[in-house]
Amino acid sequence: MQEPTPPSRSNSDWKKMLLLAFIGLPVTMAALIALYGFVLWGLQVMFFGPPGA
Amino acid sequence: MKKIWRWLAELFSKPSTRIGLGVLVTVGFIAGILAWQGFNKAMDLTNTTEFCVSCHTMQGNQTELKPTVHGTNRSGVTPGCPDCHVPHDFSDKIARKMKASVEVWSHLTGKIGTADKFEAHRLRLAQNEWDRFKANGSKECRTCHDYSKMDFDKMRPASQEPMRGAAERDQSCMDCHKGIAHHMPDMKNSHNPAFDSLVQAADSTRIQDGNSYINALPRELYSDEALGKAAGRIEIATPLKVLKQVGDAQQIELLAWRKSKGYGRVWYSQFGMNIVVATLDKATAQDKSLVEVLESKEDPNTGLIWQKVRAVFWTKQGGVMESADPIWDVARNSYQTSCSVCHKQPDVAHFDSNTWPGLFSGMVGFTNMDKDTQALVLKYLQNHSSDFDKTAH
Repeated sequence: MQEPTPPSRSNSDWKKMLLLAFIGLPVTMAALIALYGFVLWGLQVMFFGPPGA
Repeated sequence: MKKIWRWLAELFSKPSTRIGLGVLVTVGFIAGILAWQGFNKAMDLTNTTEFCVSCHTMQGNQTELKPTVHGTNRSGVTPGCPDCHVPHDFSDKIARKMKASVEVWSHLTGKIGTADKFEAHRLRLAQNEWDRFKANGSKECRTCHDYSKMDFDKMRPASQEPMRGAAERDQSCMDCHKGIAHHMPDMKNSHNPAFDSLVQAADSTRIQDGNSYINALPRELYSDEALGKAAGRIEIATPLKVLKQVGDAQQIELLAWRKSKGYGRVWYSQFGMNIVVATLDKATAQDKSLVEVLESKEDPNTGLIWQKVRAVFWTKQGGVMESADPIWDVARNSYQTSCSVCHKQPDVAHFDSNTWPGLFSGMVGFTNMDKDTQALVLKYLQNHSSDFDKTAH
């Protein structure tokens, strides 16, 4: 049997995973969608004009 | 910065040694579901009428919507703010939501924080929405009001023809139905940029004493050379004669007709035709030393006595053109674009100059012409009516 890794490592793995899954990635998603919206709005103002039918 | 990158790189590249792959994927899957659900919930919550009017700036808009057919009606089916004002497609919706950051900013800075301030911006804000509806053919309206599902026979007879025509042309609802949900902005004091071209044309006119010209824009008349005593107002496209020019002032002669009834304040260009060329102050109109009556004639249609009158006034230097054609070009353009939006505009020479004012004032409320443009277009219609164009009717 392998020597178990120290409990601290395992704890930090859980922490990292939960932080990433429930905070890091959702925030990133929201930020990317907002960025997409801003870019689209900017393009509408400068080039496209208001969205067509 | 470098540290953060290294930490991130390690986070993504180093396999976890203690947590099972299944657990990792499951937790990620659940987090994904929750995140997407939360995102949609947030999108929905920010897309409700309650959310819109939670900012007090918008409460007035809701109040004015209430008595309209989109606020209360017999079936109880009404749209909320976002049904009309937020695009329904994902991308356009997101862009619109980010654009709302301007609205949040205006709210925080109090730019449209009171009813008065809102009124001051109403025209601009309405124009934003009109432009949007123009570009997408009033797409949001047509989520509910679908041309292909309209039973034209059930419409009021007066509505049937224009609605059939609109459906045929696949016309944008907002072309005609402006001001249907919220109050119409006050267009009267807006500025028609087409008038700027007339100012330019007037600026390049070389004026010679004793020659006849056309007044380029409505402006003040004075009875003295110092331009201190106001005498009235001369309308656009009024023929006049420049007598002399002194510094910033020019002396002009007006030859027109007035009705002998009342104070004779309103002057008309032709005998028996209500085509306004100038409106004088009461005192000026009654001043016999200023206004010279040349001739009196009875109008057989009304029994009123019309007087041919002549008077000399002062105006600011310039502001005249040699021909009225540029004015009529602007007017024709406005007439065609504003009126043809809802119906085929009638042939100008189909009516006479005394019929046009009534017709015009009945229709002009549906357009977004400002006050000066209204006066100009009416004048164009009168001056090109059947009284002048003998080729028609």
